[in-house]
Amino acid sequence: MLYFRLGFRNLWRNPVRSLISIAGIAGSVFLCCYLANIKIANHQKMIQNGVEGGPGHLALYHPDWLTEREVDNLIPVAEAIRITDSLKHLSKRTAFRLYIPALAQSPRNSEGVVVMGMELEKEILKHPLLKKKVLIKGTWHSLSGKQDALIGEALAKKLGLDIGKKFVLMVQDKHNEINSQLFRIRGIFQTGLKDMDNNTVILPLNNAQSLLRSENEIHEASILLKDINDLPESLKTARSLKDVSSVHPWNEAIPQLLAIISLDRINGMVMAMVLFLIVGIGTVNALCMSVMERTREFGVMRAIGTRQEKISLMILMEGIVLSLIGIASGLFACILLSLYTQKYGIDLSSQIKNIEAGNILLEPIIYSGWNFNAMGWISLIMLGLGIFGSLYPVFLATRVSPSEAMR
Amino acid sequence: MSTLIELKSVARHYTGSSGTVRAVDNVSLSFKEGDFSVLAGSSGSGKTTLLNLIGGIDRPDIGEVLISGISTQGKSESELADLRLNKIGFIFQSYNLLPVLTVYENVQFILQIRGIADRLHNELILPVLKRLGLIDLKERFPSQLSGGQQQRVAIARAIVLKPSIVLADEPTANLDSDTADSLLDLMQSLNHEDRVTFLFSSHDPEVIRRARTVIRLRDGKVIEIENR
Ligand SMILES: Nc1ncnc2c1ncn2[C@@H]1O[C@H](COP(=O)(O)OP(=O)(O)OP(=O)(O)O)[C@@H](O)[C@H]1O
Ligand SMILES: [Mg+2]
Repeated sequence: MLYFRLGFRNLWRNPVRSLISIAGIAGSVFLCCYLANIKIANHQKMIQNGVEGGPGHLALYHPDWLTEREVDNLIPVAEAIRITDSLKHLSKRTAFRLYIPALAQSPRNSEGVVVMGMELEKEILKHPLLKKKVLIKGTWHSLSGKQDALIGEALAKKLGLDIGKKFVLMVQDKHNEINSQLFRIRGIFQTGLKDMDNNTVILPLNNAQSLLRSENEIHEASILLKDINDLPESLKTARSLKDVSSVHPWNEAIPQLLAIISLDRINGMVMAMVLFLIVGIGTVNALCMSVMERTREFGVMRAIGTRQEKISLMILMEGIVLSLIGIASGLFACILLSLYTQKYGIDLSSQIKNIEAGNILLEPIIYSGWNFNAMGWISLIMLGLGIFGSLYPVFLATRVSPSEAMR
Repeated sequence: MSTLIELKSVARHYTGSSGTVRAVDNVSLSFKEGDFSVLAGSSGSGKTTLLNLIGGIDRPDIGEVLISGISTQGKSESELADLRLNKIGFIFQSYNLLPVLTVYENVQFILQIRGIADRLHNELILPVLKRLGLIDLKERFPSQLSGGQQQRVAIARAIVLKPSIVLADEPTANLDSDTADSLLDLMQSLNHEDRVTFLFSSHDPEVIRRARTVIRLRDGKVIEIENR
């Protein structure tokens, strides 16, 4: 307790210097923790969108689909139904999908596009591309007509088309023959994702299947579970029932997205390291200065019989007290601001129009979550840095010989 | 009376760019319980160096220093620190006190490093503060004290653990003569009434006048010992 008290009081001898060090520590702890909280919320959102718009928690694909998105890599609907039915009690929704490269032609223009075949009745308002605010014109409802199609806003513009107008989709069908069919635009969507708005056509699954001339096959059967904890069990069941398809958990199906996320996390860590390094050097500097100013005091302490270790402990305590105050204030600020952004978010829409990452649209309003793991680690590393940063000042103090200091 | 400190042919040399300085040269001395002695000599005569050797702050190059019969030779830094803590009280010329601690805490500091239980502190410290007229100042910080008051706190800290001997390096050098006089009165009465053993270094004639033993130094050598 003596050393703690001494450490504490010694810090207030030069309050400006100590406050600068504390502010450095607090600021970097705050920045790193707050960014970690924002990142984790964004990453969760990205994964959620990626999962919902793609494989769900687990998905059935042709064994080659994930490596080669060839239009021929199809799986039978019957098998998909057999497996999804057996998981019915665990799943929140299942969705069958097709992805077909095609040429869209209007009287004015032609464009290469991707045709997505979706069970619209199931996916409407759920799939990230079919969320409410995405549809800007037309209708989402009862799209079951043979010619019904939804089309991206930029694509519609390029083709010079609007609601109700007709266009032709031309594909190479399953039997390697050219197939063209006429469609009518029933709805126009604008996701904000360039890829999607420029070259996507969404068809009801049946229409897409008939375009491909493959009535009983799909590319993707996506299963969203009620509880992610049922994933291992669901995988096991699905794998035991599969025939020609292969079963993948979500993380295998969206590797690019996960790579982007882990890259982003590494970015964050590198930034934190640089920040910590700078703050660490500042702390070492402040402690060294305060130690060198006090050689006479250390000399007196040693002369009257204080052991070297105790003086070292005292300086160590100064580093620890400094770090603890800084960490506590940084965490406090981070928690306050995180609570705020968790509830109200930060609106970046005026700064940034559309933020894309791995074909997933990021919301212009950023919310934060809680990355307690990162907060804990950041605090620990900072404390470690404070202790480590005290070592050189401790070393400086041990070099003070009492007889020299007393001159 | 028992011998507290003994120096046997002690020498301490400093080698610098201008050759070797014999700061203490072949000194043999002993100090007994109840002494009130002074090391006198001009500046550079080796007073501080000798005092540091006597107090185990420094080690001799040649010869041997015995503190309560224990040789400082071959002792580790920690063992020497413990020896100083238990046997010797120190008073320096100035800046004796830890500025972040109050008067009470400065005296308490030495009890804490000695590991004396907190509940005993009051009964050890308060009588000493009373004896030195510091009781009303015990909550003050050193910066709020006069030079003489600071030196009295240094004395309090030096004597609170009842050391064998108190070493004081020019304790009056930074004080005006009135303050110096009353400080010397105090130390004299501690010597008479409380049997505290003192060894000073000084070139202050007043200190030398009051000492019972005067050890005169020149160029690191003892040139005269005068017992009164
Ligand atoms: N660390 C050192 N390095 C080199 N020479 C030293 C060192 N310490 C002391 N000396 C020399 O040793 C001699 C004795 O010094 P010391 O400080 O003991 O004298 P002093 O009698 O205490 O002087 P003063 O009255 O000025 O305090 C001086 O010549 C001094 O220059
Ligand atoms: Mg001197």
